[in-house]
Amino acid sequence: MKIGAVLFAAFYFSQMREETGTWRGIAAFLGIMALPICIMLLQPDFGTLGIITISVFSIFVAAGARARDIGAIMLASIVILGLLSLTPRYSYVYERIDTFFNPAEQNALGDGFQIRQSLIAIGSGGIAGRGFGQGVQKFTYLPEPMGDSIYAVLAEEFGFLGGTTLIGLFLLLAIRGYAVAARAPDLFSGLLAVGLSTYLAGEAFINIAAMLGMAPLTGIPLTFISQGGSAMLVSLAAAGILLHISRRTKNATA
Amino acid sequence: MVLAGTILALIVGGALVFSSAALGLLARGSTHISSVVFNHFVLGIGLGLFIAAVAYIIDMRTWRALAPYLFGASLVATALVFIPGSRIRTRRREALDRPWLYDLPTI
Repeated sequence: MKIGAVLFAAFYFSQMREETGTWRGIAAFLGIMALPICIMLLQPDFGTLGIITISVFSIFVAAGARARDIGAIMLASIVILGLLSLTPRYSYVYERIDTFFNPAEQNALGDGFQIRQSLIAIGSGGIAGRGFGQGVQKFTYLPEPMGDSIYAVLAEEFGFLGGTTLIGLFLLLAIRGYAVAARAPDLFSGLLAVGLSTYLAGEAFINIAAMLGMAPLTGIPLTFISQGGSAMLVSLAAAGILLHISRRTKNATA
Repeated sequence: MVLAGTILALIVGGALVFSSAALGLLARGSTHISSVVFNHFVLGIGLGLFIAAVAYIIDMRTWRALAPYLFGASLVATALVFIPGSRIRTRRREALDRPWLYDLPTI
């Protein structure tokens, strides 16, 4: 669904061209997002919905959205998420956000458990880490060491240096991806490159931010690294498309 | 080249970290460890690299033509989760994917 939505958004906004800057642009954004929002609210899966929204939103912005439309969507998203978190069905969203703002006040064995354990792991890694395979937290209290918490395992074993290297790699991925987008041979390829780069790097940054206590825990995996065959398939397919656009760019300039 | 190198570094480095993290699951006494590792390395990375290679070859015109259909198909596929009956399989799948949630006591 992530790649499907990004492909379709790039397709639709590349057809619209200048009209993206009119009311039709914001209507198209809402139209593309309507069904994914309904499905993800029913599941419910706010993490996946968040990354799809951010990816499609980045395409909308790159396609030439008006500043006031961008502001309106951001404001509306925050307000709607806030209102939803007050309803009983989505009360867990409220709890996650509450844990994020008040990690110390939460029960260390309850809601605040995961963030506490991931911070212990990251902190005990120090500058250079305990060494490959020497991490302790993965054997004991860290939940999902191969899944969402894998960044904490990496930071414990490879330390601050390893953790920042990984962040640097994802940053490089985003920068190169956007550079490919800027030099893409046509509008569709360019918008697609923006969406795919945002998806790959954005997912990683949301995951790492959650591990560091800089964002609420969302259950988003770490791109290319977390356990999960299907998530890996989707990420690698996105990488393949991005590399194809990159190759076309080189051919076009040569 | 930089982009390809970055992605390759992430996959190789990620596989190393994943292997190390998998020791944690092994030490917790999970019996599903081989299926989890198989799922990640063979289906995830192996099949994933094949799909990435296919995606790399496919022309942009094809992606452009397929875009609306792929979006529609992905929406239908995701909505299939809500069909009763498929839930049993989903839960079994979930147990295979996240075995520590099922056979291990939460500390």
